Amino acid sequence: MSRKDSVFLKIFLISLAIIVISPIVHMIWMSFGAEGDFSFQAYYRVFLTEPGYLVKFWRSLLLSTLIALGQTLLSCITAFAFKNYKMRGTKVILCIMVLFMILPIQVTLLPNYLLLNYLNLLNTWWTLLLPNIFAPFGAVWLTFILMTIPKEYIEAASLDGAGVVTVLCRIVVPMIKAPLVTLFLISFVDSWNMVEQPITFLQEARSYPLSVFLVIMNEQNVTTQSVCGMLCLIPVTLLFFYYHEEFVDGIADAFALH
Amino acid sequence: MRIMTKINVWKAGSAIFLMLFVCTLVSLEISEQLLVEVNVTQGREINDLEFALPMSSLQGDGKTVYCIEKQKGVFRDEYVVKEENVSVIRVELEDIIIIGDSFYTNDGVRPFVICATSYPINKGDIVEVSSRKIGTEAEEKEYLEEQIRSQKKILLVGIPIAVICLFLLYKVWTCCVKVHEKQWKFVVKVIGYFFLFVVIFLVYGSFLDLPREILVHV
Repeated sequence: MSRKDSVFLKIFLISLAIIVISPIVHMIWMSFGAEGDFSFQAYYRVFLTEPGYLVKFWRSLLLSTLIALGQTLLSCITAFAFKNYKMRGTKVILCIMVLFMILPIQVTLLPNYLLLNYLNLLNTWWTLLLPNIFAPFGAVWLTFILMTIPKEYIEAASLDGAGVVTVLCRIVVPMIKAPLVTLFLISFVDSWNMVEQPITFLQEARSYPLSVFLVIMNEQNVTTQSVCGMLCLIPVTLLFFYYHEEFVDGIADAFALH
Repeated sequence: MRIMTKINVWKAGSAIFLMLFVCTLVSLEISEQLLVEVNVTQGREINDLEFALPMSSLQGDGKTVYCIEKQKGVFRDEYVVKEENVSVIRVELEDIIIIGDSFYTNDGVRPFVICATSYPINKGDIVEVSSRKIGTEAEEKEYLEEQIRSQKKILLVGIPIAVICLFLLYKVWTCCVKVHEKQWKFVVKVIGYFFLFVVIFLVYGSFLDLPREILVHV
């Protein structure tokens, strides 16, 4: 690459970075007061006097963690079953799961609502946990990841007397650690940002997670909205910094499949 | 390098979440302290068309009273102040007003009317229904002073906290003395001790019943 090309590339990348970071910088700026009045009033309100915002934060964090952990665990077990046990209809089931994966979330809202209403689970946390934990994306993705692992590893472990759980926990999971972490991150971010499902399945506004609360908050209260937006950034940012190398490895593994 | 980065992120994340947890507890405590105490009454029925309310419940314009409405709060139900128009027919005695049948909720039930408050309130404020009888402004001031005097028992808790703070000050002084260390390590240590100071003062301050004027005007 010539020097001129590298200069243009740097300018292009810096411009792209500015475009991506500028909304966050604007949000930080607005959190200290709109229209030039610099004050910590919004921070005082959110962090010290009105506990509703922080309580919603902890609720959202717990909900997202449960969903991410549940989806990762179930997807791992499902993918291992698809890999290890060949029976009639396995490929059909996998194709159906891929089809459901492609469907947009808005299409499944009504059937889920009717089913959850029939089960008397509406207006509880189960309405958010169950559909997201049993989402097909993780199982399908991990199935394709596990197809790259040679069966000889599993057979060798079985010959040494390892049971199914031991093979899964001691052999398979360490080999797919990066994709598992990536799946956890993706499902955490997805559930942290979900808006349509809480609005549809939860009837009381006080049960809404922080992501929905930000949307329905009074638009005149821009400074408080900005502080709550920064609050929303904290868990996702920390998770990314902690797992960014595994995340990159996991995405690279996914592209290596192709 | 990966492990060092993970350790640093773990430390930063733990500090942030600990701070948020402390802020949650403190904000729950402060929101309780900011609640204005009110006395409420449903009035006394005189006949099918008239019933009586205390004179103190009528607002300055002579046409409105403040009522409380129950709504679901963060952890439990809370009471919000709302304004209701009333039509005063006559006044009997010095502290009773008689109002007509225009004053009912949609369910046909008489609402709870605020007849005394420990602090001026406005429409939309969240209040606490108190069982103690709220007196005049002078009586309320004396009550508040009595509450503050009773905090002296909690001040005893300040002694071990003062010892911890002195220890942290000593550590900060030691950090300042060791100037031969790398500058960024020194800055990180001082920030860490400052963070501990803030946490300790926040937790200790939340146990004190601070006057409403201080909490509102910070």
